[in-house]
Amino acid sequence: MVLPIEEKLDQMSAWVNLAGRYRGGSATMRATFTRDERAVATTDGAYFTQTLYQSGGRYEFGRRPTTTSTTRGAQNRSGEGIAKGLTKTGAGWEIFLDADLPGQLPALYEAANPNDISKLAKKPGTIGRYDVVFDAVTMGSLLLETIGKATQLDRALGFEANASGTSYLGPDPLAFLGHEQVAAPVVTVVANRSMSRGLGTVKWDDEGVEPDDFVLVQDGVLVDYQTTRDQTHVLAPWYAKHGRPVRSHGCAGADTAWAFPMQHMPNLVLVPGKQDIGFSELVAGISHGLAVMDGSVQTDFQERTGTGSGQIREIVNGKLGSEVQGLGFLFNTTQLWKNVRALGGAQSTLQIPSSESKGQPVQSTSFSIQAVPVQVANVDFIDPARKA
Amino acid sequence: MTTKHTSRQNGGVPVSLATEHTSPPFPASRFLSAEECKALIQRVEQFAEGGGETTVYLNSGWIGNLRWARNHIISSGDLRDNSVLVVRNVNGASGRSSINALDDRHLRLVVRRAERIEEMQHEVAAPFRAGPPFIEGYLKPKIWFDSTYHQDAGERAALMERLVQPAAAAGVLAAGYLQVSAWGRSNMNKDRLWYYPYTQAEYSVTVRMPDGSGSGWAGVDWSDWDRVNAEKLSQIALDKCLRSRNPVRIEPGRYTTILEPQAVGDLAMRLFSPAYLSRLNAEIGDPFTTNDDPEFRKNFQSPFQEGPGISKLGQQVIDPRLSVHSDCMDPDLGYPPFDNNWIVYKPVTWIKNGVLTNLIYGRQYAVEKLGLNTNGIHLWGSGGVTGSFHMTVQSETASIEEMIATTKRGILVTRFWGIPINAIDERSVLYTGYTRDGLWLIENGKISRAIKNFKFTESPLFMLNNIEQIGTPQRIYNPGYPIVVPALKVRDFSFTSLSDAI
Repeated sequence: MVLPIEEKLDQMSAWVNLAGRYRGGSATMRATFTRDERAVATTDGAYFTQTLYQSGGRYEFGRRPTTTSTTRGAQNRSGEGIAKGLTKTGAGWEIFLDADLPGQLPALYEAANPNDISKLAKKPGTIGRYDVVFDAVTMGSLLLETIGKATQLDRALGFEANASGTSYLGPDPLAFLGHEQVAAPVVTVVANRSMSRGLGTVKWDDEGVEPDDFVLVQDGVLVDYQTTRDQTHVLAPWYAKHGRPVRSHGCAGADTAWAFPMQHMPNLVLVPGKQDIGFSELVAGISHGLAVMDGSVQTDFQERTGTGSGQIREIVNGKLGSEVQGLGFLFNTTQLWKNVRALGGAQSTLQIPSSESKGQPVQSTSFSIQAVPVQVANVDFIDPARKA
Repeated sequence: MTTKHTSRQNGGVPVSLATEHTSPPFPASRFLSAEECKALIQRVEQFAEGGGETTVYLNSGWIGNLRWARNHIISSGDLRDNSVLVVRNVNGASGRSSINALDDRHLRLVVRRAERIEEMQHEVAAPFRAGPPFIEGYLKPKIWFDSTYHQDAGERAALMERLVQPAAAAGVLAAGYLQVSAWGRSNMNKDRLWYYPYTQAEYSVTVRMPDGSGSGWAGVDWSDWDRVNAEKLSQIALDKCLRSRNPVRIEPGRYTTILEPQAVGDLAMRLFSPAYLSRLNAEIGDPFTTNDDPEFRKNFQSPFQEGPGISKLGQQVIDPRLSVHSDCMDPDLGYPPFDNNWIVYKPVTWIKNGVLTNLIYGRQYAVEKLGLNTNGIHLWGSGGVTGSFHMTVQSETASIEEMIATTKRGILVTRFWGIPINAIDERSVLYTGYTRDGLWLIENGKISRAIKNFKFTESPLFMLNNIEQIGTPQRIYNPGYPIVVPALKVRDFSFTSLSDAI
């Protein structure tokens, strides 16, 4: 069913107006919708059409101070809360209905409390080596920027050398497959184009291949790369050794009708740990350390080393403490992944929208990442604003 | 892959247009000509319903490209497309919609869609409506070159064979990209039609050792393909690859650093961004400022701010041997003279002998704050050519070889990569990124060895204030946003960590 834009707008106005029922409350909301109709024909005989949907939005609850506050530092401060469940996914208007915005309002009102003193407590951080819990959002970024990019076969082989870069798992993939320990044995990474509501989910890729779900890293060991029909023959000896067919995993795509189909990122999954634990339990396992939330990661052009930032909080005796400022983390990719001690369970999985640019002319495509919070030992924290 | 307009017939009633346009010196078969734009606006006008005004912004273009890797072609393209944005304004409410099909059915559809969106907006009472755009005449830069437009796919393929040959002979792997394009940009309504044709050409190449032990890069872009010396660039990339083999680790720290023009541009472009060059942003904190967005005020800091409400205009901000200007008429820059919003680009000198002389501002600022009836130095809010600049030198210049010869211990940088858009610290414009594709140690006036890449943490303001020697300004690789800068020898450049990436 196609809901006219006018009706969507009316519904959004109603949700925004609900915020006015709260003292000092107001809201802004935006929504974007994409319908991508693809028709593909190849000289190899594939012919098909498919329609891909993407929706996402943001509902921001603002709260003005309603009395003259006596809390120090809180004067003239307003607070805000962001509604959950509206990040971009491969679905339609239903994500806005599923998010139950009216039901979220009491929590948003609390989150936006401008006088919440805990939000103001911040202290300067101390550089050094810490045991860390990265939340699922930070792990999503880390997974993409390191193992995600490095296991693109075109990058490993040098096809992106003049554009987005190469890979620490190259230039000869056969030298790594099956024995390269890229992470701790608790780490398994899977890629697919079948994830429910995944932004990279398709029935067929742009070469007409029906993608399969495939394991990139099994128990810490590199066992496969992301592939298209063009390059998969490079891995034939490895597949033959394991009695697997030589086939593309279906990662070909083009961001628009006038772009060349090339290799793009599928949906990625950091497979949850076996124990039924989440962020708090992982924090509880650390007596003195740091937690990184809503973080993001940048790496060099071979994903060998990188830096990360985010909201950083102390962990003291297994509990979250003050927010610390002026810290970022610096890592060697393989070392960091090998230092993973524990992963959150399936219940702690978060599905995160993401995108990547590559190619010449540059193309940008979307995909989703399922990640869990992770506990990592011995992460180096530095002052990112300090010069040599 | 190719989306081409399917109907060009003029279905409209004759409309008298105050046409100001420059015709390209060719039959514009690969993209829309000024005459076709004139027919287009007449047809769109005809489809409009419900009064008000109609404006069309158009980018029509052709791209020919060739991409190769591991010494073999991986894609070759000939692409044509039109991007038509229709804006309908009725009683102060406005709606916009864009499309790339130009037959009557689709044009009618896009006009209806713009009107449908317009109807969802609130109308504005007459006294409070924004006036018509303030229209000024635009400059006529020479940015059309037949050398670019006439290069066909066969020529590109033959050229690639020649360019790759030296790398293949040396047993190394070249990955390159070559693109030529031609565009017609137009702003049009019932009274006025602006149209400007221009060409762009770019070439870049990365040469790597097959075992990944070395990497070199070179590249440039120009409007005129004849100014792209692809053979020479290929040779430079090959040479850098061979000389960068098996780099050794040296300690991060502060080094006297020779930055090739590409490296200078990679970092300097962050300083000459529209956000930092904005006068309004530099005057944040002024109680009378027109920018009232508290979120913006809270988060944004300008390196060109002296104090609350006061910019650094008139102060020395960089080395007095350097000046910086943007001018579409500059033959070493050259970019379209207007944006898709009736905004014209005026020549402006940002920095004269190291002194900040200008910051950008729009018409509202010009009228309200400066008492000028002008459109301002309008770069803000435009997508097209923001960030294009030419850094000139008012002193003796030195070649890179002379810079090396006079360096006791230092580092030579080919280029930077991965510099995030956002500074770590905005007031000091502190950025990080990585060196890439050729980094060497200099000892006693000579390049002594290839070294492993660094992550740097440095400010372009620091770079431009700690200069020992300056080279001859050169065009760098920054397609669509021309930049001309010199090589620089800089004291105490800050490299903060090592990377094993090659």
